[in-house]
Amino acid sequence: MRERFWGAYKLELRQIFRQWSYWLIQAALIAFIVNSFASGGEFYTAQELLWAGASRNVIGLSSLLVLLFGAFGAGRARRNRMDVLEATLPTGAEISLARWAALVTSSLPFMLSALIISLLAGPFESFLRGLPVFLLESTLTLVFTASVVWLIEVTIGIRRWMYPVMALLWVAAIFVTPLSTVPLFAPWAGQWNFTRFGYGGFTDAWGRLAQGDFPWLLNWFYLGMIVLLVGLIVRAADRRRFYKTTGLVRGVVGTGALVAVAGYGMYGLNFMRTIVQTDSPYSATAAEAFFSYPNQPANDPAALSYAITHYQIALDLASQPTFDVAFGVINRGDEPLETIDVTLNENAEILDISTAYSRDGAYINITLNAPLAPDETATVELQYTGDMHTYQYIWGAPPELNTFITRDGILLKQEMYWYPRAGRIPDGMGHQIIDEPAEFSLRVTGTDLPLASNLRTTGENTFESAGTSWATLIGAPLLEIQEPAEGVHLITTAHQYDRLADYLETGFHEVREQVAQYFPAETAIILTHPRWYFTVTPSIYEPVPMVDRAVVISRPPWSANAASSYWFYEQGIYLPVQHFFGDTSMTLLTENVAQFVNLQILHDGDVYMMRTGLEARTTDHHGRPITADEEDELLYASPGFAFNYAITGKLIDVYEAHGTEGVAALLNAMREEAATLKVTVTREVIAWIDSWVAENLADA
Amino acid sequence: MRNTVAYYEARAAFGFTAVVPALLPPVFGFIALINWLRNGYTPTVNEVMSALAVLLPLSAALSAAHLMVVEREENVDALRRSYAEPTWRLPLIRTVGALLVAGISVGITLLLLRGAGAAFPLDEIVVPAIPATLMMVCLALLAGNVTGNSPAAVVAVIAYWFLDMQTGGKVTGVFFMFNAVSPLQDLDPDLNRLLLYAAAIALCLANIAWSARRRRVGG
Repeated sequence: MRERFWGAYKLELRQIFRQWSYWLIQAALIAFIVNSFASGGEFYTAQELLWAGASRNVIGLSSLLVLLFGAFGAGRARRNRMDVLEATLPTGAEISLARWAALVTSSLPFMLSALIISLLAGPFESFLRGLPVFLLESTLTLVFTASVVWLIEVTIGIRRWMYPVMALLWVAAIFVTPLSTVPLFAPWAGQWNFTRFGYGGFTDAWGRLAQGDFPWLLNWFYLGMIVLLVGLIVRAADRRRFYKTTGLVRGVVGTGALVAVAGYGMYGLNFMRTIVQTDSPYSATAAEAFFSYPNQPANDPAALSYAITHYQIALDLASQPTFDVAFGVINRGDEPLETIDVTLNENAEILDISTAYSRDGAYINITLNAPLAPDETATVELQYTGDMHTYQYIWGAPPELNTFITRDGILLKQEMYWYPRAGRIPDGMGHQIIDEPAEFSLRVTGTDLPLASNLRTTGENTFESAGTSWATLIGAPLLEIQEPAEGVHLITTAHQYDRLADYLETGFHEVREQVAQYFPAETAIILTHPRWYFTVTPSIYEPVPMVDRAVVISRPPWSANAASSYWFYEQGIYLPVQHFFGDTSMTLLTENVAQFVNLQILHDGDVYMMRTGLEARTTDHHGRPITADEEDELLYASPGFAFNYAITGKLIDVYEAHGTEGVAALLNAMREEAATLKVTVTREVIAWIDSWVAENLADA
Repeated sequence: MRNTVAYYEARAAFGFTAVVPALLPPVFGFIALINWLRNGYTPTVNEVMSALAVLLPLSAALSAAHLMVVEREENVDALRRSYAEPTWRLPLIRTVGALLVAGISVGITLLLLRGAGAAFPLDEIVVPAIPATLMMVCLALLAGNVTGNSPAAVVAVIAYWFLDMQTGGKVTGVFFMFNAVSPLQDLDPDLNRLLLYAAAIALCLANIAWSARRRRVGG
């Protein structure tokens, strides 16, 4: 039997390797992947390419090749009218298994393209970290696909009409992922995407930590499916030859089915368990809670009659995470203040508190020890514990951890209330509501993980801010803080920095100098995850009010191209301007000023080109058409997109007449008046500029 | 009737292998019909146009992928090549057959969509899908003819379709097939359509030329 197996295996392998199309496809796949992912200046790390990006393309395309060429090979006997002969000389399972094994063997070299591109990307350590999971997942997919093909062959036989059907099934498997947006199908659809095309969910800092159990449950499901399918192939061959099968085979089939059903079911149940915990339309919260008007500030924190003035937090991670929090409250109202409301993560279990309190989910009503007279302050002390596991909704994928404390990583986000925030913040609005700046001090003990925060580092695992409306804590094994240019702090991983270093030196640094002539303040950029970019900062679209420095949490740019355009604009220019004006929302003023600096840098100060560039930009609107009246009244805009760039035009006029010094003086004057100007409509801002220039620069 | 070329060709063009993938647009139309009727929603012209512009090229190409290989897979290729028929006739008949299948598929889809209660202007929902469909059909026929292998033709068209969609025209540039669905900023739509038609004609001529070559040198 062993000889027959090896004979058939070698024969099948020879048949495959002899086909010119096999080698042509290998070459085409390598050319496509290398062209797509290494055309120069890309910043992917090797591990990312192996766990997301390129590897998803390679595994997906290879599964199509195995499905169709495997079917062609498996159907050879039928096509050549040999099937009847095969039936009269029935072979055992060893022949089918040998051909199946040859198909699997010949498909493994398809993975070369992903390995090549990852090795080219580097660093090598990142490649080694990513390799085992890539090999496991690619092998599972290819073996599963080969098993499907051979099961069809040994049961009903491969026929010509099946090729397009298999192709359509492959397409359907890819597009089954978006069904994850349909509540009824969501928990039970994504498992069938055997191609693994789609959302990779990888971050260089945490790998797939945020995806929780989903990746291994998926692999578990496919492992079970492979055992089941191989068992069924052997069973079919046995029944053809002996008209019965053995107990061993039945055991294999049963075990495979059990493992597959367990993996499939647990994945689905995990999906159902976590989706209701997300701030999404699928949670228990009413969908309208998630609707917000664009171009409008989300919240007015001044409406509360009290505010939190400072936080002092000691976080001990030695065993169960324990938070010792002391926060100061000020009564801003005219009446004595007896109780306050704060919002705290629902998973936090309160151990001790210095006052009386009652709790309703995330809302805590605190009765102060003594009524607080107007303008008086009091301190509340609170001790709580919990790993802060909360989930976020991901379109077309299972929910992901949004905030977490684990041995392998920490992510604490303000939007998930890891510390008490003033007022009762409605469900799902944590990221849209901006707290008033408060003094903040955070000290973490009991962990070996490197830590970083948007707050300044003032000692070992100690972070402080003189005034911040948000605090984020990040911990990851590979975390590093780099300073590529003076005043610019990149919180990233060693591997990510390795990929970015050249660009930061040649691209980012030069432009930073030009930006710093107007906005010299310190900037910190935390490179983490594309999806977290929108939600880590305190409002849905990145307002970042901090007294000390401008901070944004961003995805890394994927390539020098992206870096030189939008990514740099947003992180390198918009952010410092936003900080300069103390902008707590995305105002038209910030966008207009940032755009002026952007045009000056892009066109090397050539006024004619700056005006031409501005003209092109004014046609680059997005969203619904807007009327002239509305345009005149707008106060808010997104980075890079505004309906009104008249202030930018005016700044170009000032620049033409008075140079960089004139604009710098004007911007400093605008900063003094920022609180008024950012809520003033464009035509009045222009009038203010005209008047200021006439008064202060007319003689220059 | 059974002794006509039309009967023989119809058996090839309207066989199970061609019909199954051609069901893709009607199945979409059927699901859409049920969904829209249940939810009382009338789809926009743009939604229907986008669906057809994405699905039709794929289904038509998959339906056509085996057509130039039928004789070889049935082991009657040498016999067919020995007949005294012009070398252009077979590829041309198969092209027409493939387009007929695509046409019927679109017709049924439109009937189903009409059942949803919305009358769509043909020029706005079908015409944008035509250039890419023609090109994909001709590509499928040529791939089948050159490789002599219907799975290879299927892989060629599906990989091309998928990668063009996934890369958003990054690789195919002016030949981007889905410009009607997600227009590229620096691509003139008229030029794009023209080039797709030109590519379809070129592929069709290449298919004829390859058939002529096979008649001469075999293979």
